[in-house]
Amino acid sequence: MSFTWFASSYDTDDIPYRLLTFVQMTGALIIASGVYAVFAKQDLTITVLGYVIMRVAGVAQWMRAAQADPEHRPAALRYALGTILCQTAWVTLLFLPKEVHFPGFIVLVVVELLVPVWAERASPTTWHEHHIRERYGLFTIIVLGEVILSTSAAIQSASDEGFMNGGLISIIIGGLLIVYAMWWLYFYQPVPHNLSSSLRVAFIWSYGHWVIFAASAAVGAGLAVVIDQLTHHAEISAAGAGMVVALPTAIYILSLWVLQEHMREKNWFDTLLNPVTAVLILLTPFVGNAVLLIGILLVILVVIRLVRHLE
Amino acid sequence: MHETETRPRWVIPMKPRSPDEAHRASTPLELLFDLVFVVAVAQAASGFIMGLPKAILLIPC
Repeated sequence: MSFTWFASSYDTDDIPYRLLTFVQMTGALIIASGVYAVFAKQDLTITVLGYVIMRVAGVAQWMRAAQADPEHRPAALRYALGTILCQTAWVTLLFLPKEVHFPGFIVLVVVELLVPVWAERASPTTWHEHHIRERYGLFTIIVLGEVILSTSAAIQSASDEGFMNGGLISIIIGGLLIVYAMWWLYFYQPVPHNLSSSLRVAFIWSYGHWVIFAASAAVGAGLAVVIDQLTHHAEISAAGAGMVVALPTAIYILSLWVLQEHMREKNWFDTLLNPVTAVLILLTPFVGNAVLLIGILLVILVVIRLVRHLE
Repeated sequence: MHETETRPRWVIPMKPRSPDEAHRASTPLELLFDLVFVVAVAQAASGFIMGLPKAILLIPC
């Protein structure tokens, strides 16, 4: 994500810029490949390695900016210095006993998030509000691809069985309703709010998107678990499987509620719509047919918002 | 500041882009980054689910 903001301020698209971006992409892929080891074996090595590769390339970009842009040099140098210190801390963490890995991880994530806050206070970089909005919208769409992937897997499974499995059919319909409604709710922004009005607004918006992306990806992964539960009788209860979809979906609409102020500042009815829907979604695993019910709840939410807006 | 020509340039001084540029769109490089990003997110999400202790998924109810 730091690449996105950097690109918004300093995209030269020249050859060193492209090559350094390739290095950052490679680092991101290495991080992803290490996630399994983090959770299954509490082993941070691969993830930290990928992260250091990604960030060192980022530091090189900031040093270029510091050299060419005297006006924003204080911020660029703070970004570079903060990143280098964080990377040193990550590598150090690998050599500490495993017991401190988890608390160390949390502390370093918080420090990482504070580096841009500290740097931007020196001399705010010149990111482009519309460009940034478009970038985050694009990320949201492609992360919804996770949900689409799982839904298409469900369609495949159902078609293999001649579309006779009622459970799978309800997951397909529910999955489709969920992804369409999640997309609609994200781009349902009749009242544009001013991202560049303050650093605080920009940071809440940016970091809040991490929750949106994580929740979207988790909905997709959760759907995959539900399908597994149904087709391969995976060792998980139906309610447990429903919960792995319900929880991230609820988090998704709550984060939209936090980020999109038009959802909160009209009257009590519009303000409470998303939180109430989130609570209802969390109850669906206990009723059964959770995926379909979640899809229907989200559609109802979209319809109510549309009707209220048209009035 | 930003030339729209497609010919690659060796090195351009890294001057700040204007926050008021008209029609600022995502570049092909940014879209490639997005592609990498979504593959990475997909892999991370599946790694996360597969790596979780099975007990967490066995919510008793």
